[in-house]
Amino acid sequence: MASSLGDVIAVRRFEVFDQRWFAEASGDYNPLHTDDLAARRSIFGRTVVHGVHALLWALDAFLADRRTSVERISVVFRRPIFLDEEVEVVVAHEDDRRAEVQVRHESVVLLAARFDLAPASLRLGGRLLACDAEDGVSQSALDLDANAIAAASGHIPPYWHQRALHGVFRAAVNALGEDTVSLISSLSRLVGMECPGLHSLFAGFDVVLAAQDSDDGLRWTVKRFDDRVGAVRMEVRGPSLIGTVDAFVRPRPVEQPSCSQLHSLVDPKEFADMRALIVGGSRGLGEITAKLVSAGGGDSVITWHRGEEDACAVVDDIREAGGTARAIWLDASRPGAALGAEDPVPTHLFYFATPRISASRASAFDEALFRGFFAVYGTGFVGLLQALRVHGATRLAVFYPSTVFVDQPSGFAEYAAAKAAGEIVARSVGEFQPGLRVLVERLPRMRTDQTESLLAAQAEAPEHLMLQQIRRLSAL
Amino acid sequence: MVQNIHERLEAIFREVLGEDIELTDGLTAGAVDGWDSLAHVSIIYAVEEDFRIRFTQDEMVDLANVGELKACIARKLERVG
Repeated sequence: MASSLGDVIAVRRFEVFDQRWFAEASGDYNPLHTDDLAARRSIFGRTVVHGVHALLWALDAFLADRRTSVERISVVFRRPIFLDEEVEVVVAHEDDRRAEVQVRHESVVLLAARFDLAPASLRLGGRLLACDAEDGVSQSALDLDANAIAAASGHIPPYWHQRALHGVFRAAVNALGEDTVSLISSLSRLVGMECPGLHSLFAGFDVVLAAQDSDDGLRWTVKRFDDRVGAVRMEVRGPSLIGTVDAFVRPRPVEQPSCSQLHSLVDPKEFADMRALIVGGSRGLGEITAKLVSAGGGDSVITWHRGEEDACAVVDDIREAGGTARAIWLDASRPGAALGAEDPVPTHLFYFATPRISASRASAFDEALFRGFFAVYGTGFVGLLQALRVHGATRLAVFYPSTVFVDQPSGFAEYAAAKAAGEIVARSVGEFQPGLRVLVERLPRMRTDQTESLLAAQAEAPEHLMLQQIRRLSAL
Repeated sequence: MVQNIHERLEAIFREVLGEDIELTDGLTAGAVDGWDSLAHVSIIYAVEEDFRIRFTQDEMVDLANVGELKACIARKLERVG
């Protein structure tokens, strides 16, 4: 028997395996979905589930439950779906003509779809398309600039990976035919691989499922590109589908200035006595600090947690400019013995360690989220100081960056609370431990991967402000 | 005119966000579930279409709350007479 309105009709967690599977099924290999490290540097900070995959899952669950068909699908991908979080399909509204179906996580709507209903006998296709290929399907996403996007159009050949899709979305395939389900999945490839491509974000689509006078595959044309916010609207047409697709151009990872670009800001000897340990030095403010210290003649050890390649790139840049630096792995929430016996005793510590900054999706204050932040900003910080003391760092100048979010949490209550608590911890250890000089500073929003957003809010370039802070710490 | 703007905005927010929102001047995106970046752009487009005005890039990004959005719309409507 079909479920009632408001009932959960399916529950699951998307896992890493699902990402690869849908990439093969749809041809959408965008790194946001398939490369954990590349996704880390996106505005979301982690791997995101293909929106079309979630839509097809919800559609399949709905059709299996209701034993009907649909003749139009309109969907908005409201928020990213992350791996390993439990998501559910809920029928939020339904009448004789249409149903509103949502994918939710802890009552927060991540995907909102409207299905215009059709008799179950409506079946548009069903023949299996010829293509069953990984061969010949590019796995590299295009990276179109604004001018190219504005004038773009193209054709995605029929793509239906039989082996990957065998037995999946069975209700959707039974109701709509394999070629129609294939065309819907091609919309993911369109946005993620072709237009806007590499730095894209799928906002939603609205398609009518009806026989069209069209070749096999998906023809698409950009109808509007708004460069104010990078919004793209495309028209799409295939043998059994016609409609529009909305997408955005995502901000690219923030590239900080190189050492050679920073040299003019710094006296080449002004940090010559500095042996800096820079926690979280593989990108963002830590990266800038390492380069500035180096430009001033100091030595840097930078730590990385997940971004080994990023850390190595920073070290390479410093060395190419004639500086000294090396990179070590450190989990800031469990610092242990951070430095090896052979490592020199640091004179200065810059503590830029941070987990991905996120807000609670479902409640005003998520204690577990707060604890995760505080494990780095508080407990991990104290643990690192203890480890450094054992290592011989009895005299140490410490820069502890805080944030203006403490004054205005703006929805990031857990992050702001953990930072506020971290400030108190940092000042407290500074008073308690002789030889420790601690500088706590609330920094404004600056341009890093963590502060990028779809709608670019103002953020300052960090090099001048960080140079000021390094000089203050150096003078302590 | 301000009352008219308010009512039209309520209809736009209802259409985009899918529910009735009490639009106070101090209301911000962070306080409304579903008013994220994508919804914000959809709201802006709907406002542009409904009022036949066009926002600059800075306006699209910088509008801090509903009150600023209403004031910006009013300024633009005055300009076009």
